[in-house]
This record gives sequence, C-alpha cells and structure tokens, in this order.
Amino acid sequence: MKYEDDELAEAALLLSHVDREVPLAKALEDKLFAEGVQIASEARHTTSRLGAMEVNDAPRATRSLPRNLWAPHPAWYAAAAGVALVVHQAQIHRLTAASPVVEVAVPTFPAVLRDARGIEVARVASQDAEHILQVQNLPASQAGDRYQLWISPGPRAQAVPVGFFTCKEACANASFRLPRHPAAPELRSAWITLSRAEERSLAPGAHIVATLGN
Amino acid sequence: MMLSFGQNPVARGIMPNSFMKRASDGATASVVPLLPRVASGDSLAVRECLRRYGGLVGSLARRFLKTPADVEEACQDIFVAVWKNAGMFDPVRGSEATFVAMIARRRLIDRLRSRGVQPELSASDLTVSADTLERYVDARAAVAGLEQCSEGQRQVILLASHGLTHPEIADELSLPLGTVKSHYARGIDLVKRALQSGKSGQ
Repeated sequence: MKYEDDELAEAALLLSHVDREVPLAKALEDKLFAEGVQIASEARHTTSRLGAMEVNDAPRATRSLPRNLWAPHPAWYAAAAGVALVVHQAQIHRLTAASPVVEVAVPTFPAVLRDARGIEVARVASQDAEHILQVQNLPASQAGDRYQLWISPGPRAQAVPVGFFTCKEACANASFRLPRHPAAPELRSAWITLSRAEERSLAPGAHIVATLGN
Repeated sequence: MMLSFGQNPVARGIMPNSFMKRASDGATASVVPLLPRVASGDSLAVRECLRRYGGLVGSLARRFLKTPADVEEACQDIFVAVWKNAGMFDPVRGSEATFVAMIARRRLIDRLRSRGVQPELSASDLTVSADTLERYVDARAAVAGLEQCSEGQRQVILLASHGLTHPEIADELSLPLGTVKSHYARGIDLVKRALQSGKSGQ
C-alpha cells in the first residue's frame, strides 16, 4: 500500500473532527482479534544461513486452478528451473552483499554504528520514550527505498523494527527521533538496513548498511 | 448541501485561538507505536491495537455510514487493512493514529463510492473537540495549519478531507475546477508544513 503525504494530511484533518470514541463491542473486538492474529501469524519467521531472522509475507491463498493445468508439461519444467536459478542467485547475492554481523554488547551510549568498512555512519542513543539516531554519513536513498533501524535487547532473533527514515540527499549530521520499542528496553545490538522499494521484506538481516559495534 | 464556513468558528472546523493556546501548552504524551509489533506477528499488540484504535475507527465509520451493521462491517474491513499494512507504517511521516485514520478514511470512501454514493458532510461534522486535539498531536498540528489557510482554501481542504473529489467540491462551492485545484494545492501544503513543524517541535 502506497500513500502520499497529502493523504496523511487529509487524514490528520479528519482526525481533528473525530467525536465521541466508544470502545468496540466485546464480541466485535474478539472477532477482529481472531482475524488479526491469523493475519499476523501468516508472517513466516525463518532463519537464514547468516542467522538473521527473516519475516516475509506469507503467500496469499489463491483459487485452485483446474486440475489439467497442473498436468506435466514442458513449460512447467522450464518455469521451475527458472525459479530455482533465480532463488539460487538471490541467495548468493545475499551472502555476498550482507557483511558478517558481529553482535557486541555496548553498555555505553551513544552507541556507534559502522558500515562494513568500519567507518562510523551513525550513533544511536535511547531516551525515555524514543531512540535518537544521529546519522553521520549515509548515501542518499533511491526513490522509494528507505533505511530502517532495527534494535534488539539480546539475540538477533528478538530484533524489532524501530522505524523507517529516508535520505533524499546524503545524510550528514541528520537526526531522527524514533519511538522506543517496549520489547527492547535495553539497547544491546542494532542495525540499519536498506529496504528496497520493490521488496516488502522485513528481514533485519538483509541489506545491512551499518551495525552496532566497535 | 451547502455549508457556510465563514461565520461560525465551530462550523469552520477551527477552535477559538484561546483553545489552541491551551492545547499547545499542554504536554504531549508519547505513545509507543504498536504496528511494528503487529507486523512482526505479536498477537498482544493486535489486542492492544484494537483497544487503542477501536474507538477511533468506530467513530470514523459512524461519520461516513448510517446503519450499525454497515459500521460493524466497515470496522472489520478497516482493521483487516490495518493488519495487512502494519509493516508500511512509518513514524517519521506521521503518527500511528493518523496512519490508522488514513486507512479508515480510504476504506470508508471506497465503500461509499462502490455504492455510487457521494460522502455527505454537515456542519456538525466539522466540530472540533478539545479532547480530540489533546489526544492527537497530528490533529492539533493540522488544525493549526488550517488556520493559516484562506477561507476558500479552508473550505476546499475540509471537503477534500471528508472524501469529496475536486469536481464535486467545485460543484458544491460553485467554483471553477481550476480554482479548487489551486486552493487545494496551497491549502494542503500549509497543513503539511504544520504537520512537519509539529513533529520537529515535539
């Protein structure tokens, strides 16, 4: 779902005209909860060879195709081979593109995030209700691409997405205030990833551009 | 439906200046977003989200729809859209409440349009409540931006925020379509700037 700032501004105006808010009826809330849990659980959690947790949208249920379409056919074999090749190459790309990640407990703040070459690109500090991210030097994000900060109080399997930010021009000394996540009261490890426009991946291990460490 | 925005400050959708001062003086409680947790499959966050935004979504649904059955069905439709798009929430661009309101608004307008119905708006729809402005920081900033608009821009922006298309607004206000478009462009820019400065001032 894409949305523009105009639409957000209109929604904010509509918000100002909201009148009496009545909590949902219990039966309706329970019904919506059941649906919500089902949708949320469709996000698959897998572990990649790098040890990163990946969260991807589950494939949508599709209407069954007529049986004869699934009959063995040379075109299906060719398509399957093509898919296997793409998956294999994507895996190779991921393994080479993502730098090895070392988790380092850093009790002192602000914590420094460095890129694969060891160059400091950002610092992060936690305050009462938010994380302050000071970016020293990040390249401009391409149209539609967004940087995303991930933090974890411990193992990477507990990583939570904190928020997105973009750099229209190269980010030098830019500051971002991101809401603090209750699941990560202590900042032990953090990553900045680049979320590509054409992907909807929530994988904290993909396209890492900076990692907390020394 | 013809609205007079000019005489009554409530019908104009603007609270008196004294209220704005009080609201801006008040402390803003930071609300930790739930949608990133929903996107990562946290069922507790799903429940919290329903409790936090159920009233808001219900209120918006009642604003657009007439029957309780319609409202209930719309709430279900809206929350399904919220769950599915939870990963798209970007706190840098706006608050979580605004994101939820945006999804609700979109689904409600789609629902009306699919039935060939134009969203209706009455003067009472434009009342701004003090509680709402206290609770939603983006709403407060948007209203502050609206105050900087000219009367013509304000009328256009308010009708647009309630789902009317530019040709419908032109028809409603008896204005040329080009005038409506220019009023909209300038007005929404003022509102967006107010939202941005509201965020940087937090």
